[in-house]
Amino acid sequence: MKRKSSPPGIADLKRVITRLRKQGVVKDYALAGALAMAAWGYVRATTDFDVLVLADIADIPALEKRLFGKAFLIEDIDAIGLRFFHRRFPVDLMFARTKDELAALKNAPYRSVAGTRIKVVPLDYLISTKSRSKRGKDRIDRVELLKIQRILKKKKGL
Amino acid sequence: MNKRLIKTLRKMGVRFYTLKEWEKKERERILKIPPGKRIAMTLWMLNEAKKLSPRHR
Repeated sequence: MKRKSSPPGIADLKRVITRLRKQGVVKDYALAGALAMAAWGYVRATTDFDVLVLADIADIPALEKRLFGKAFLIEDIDAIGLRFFHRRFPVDLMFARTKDELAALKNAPYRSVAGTRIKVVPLDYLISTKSRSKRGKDRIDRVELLKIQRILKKKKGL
Repeated sequence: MNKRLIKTLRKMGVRFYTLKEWEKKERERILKIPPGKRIAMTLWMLNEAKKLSPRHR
């Protein structure tokens, strides 16, 4: 009987990133997108994994070759990424270039998921990216993230 | 973005999209997945997201 492989989880994603770090093509990383929002307390469904990475743009051909992926540039938001499929699941590696993105990588806290420690982008960075976007779903995300930020600030104030 | 970088990226064969084109591409990719599998995938990802959430930890 043909065995069906399950979709990848956080631990699988971490394994892929660790391998890329060992190979030296990725210097740093942090989980971004909907999964990062979940780590901050706003859970919503998503169809891909987003990871903010510190990597040299000159290494794009090497990354494409290793991951069988394809690099892309979204012109209006000035985002350079590389999409590859891990067990048929899309993973987007977004190249950190701006001051905000580099700071987000530097200040990214660790989160533990079933024994796997993974870095997650800071809440402030998530809110700022959602504020810049014009997409409807990003507006909703922003509202929810701001509520969480308020709660966290209150907790800190206590 | 500076022109030199754009030129380099074009030489590398990087695909250029506008946000609208990217969204359209994503929608088409999702619609190509059979509905049953789409639901299963969403539930899987939702579960992965839940594992990360503070309430779960």
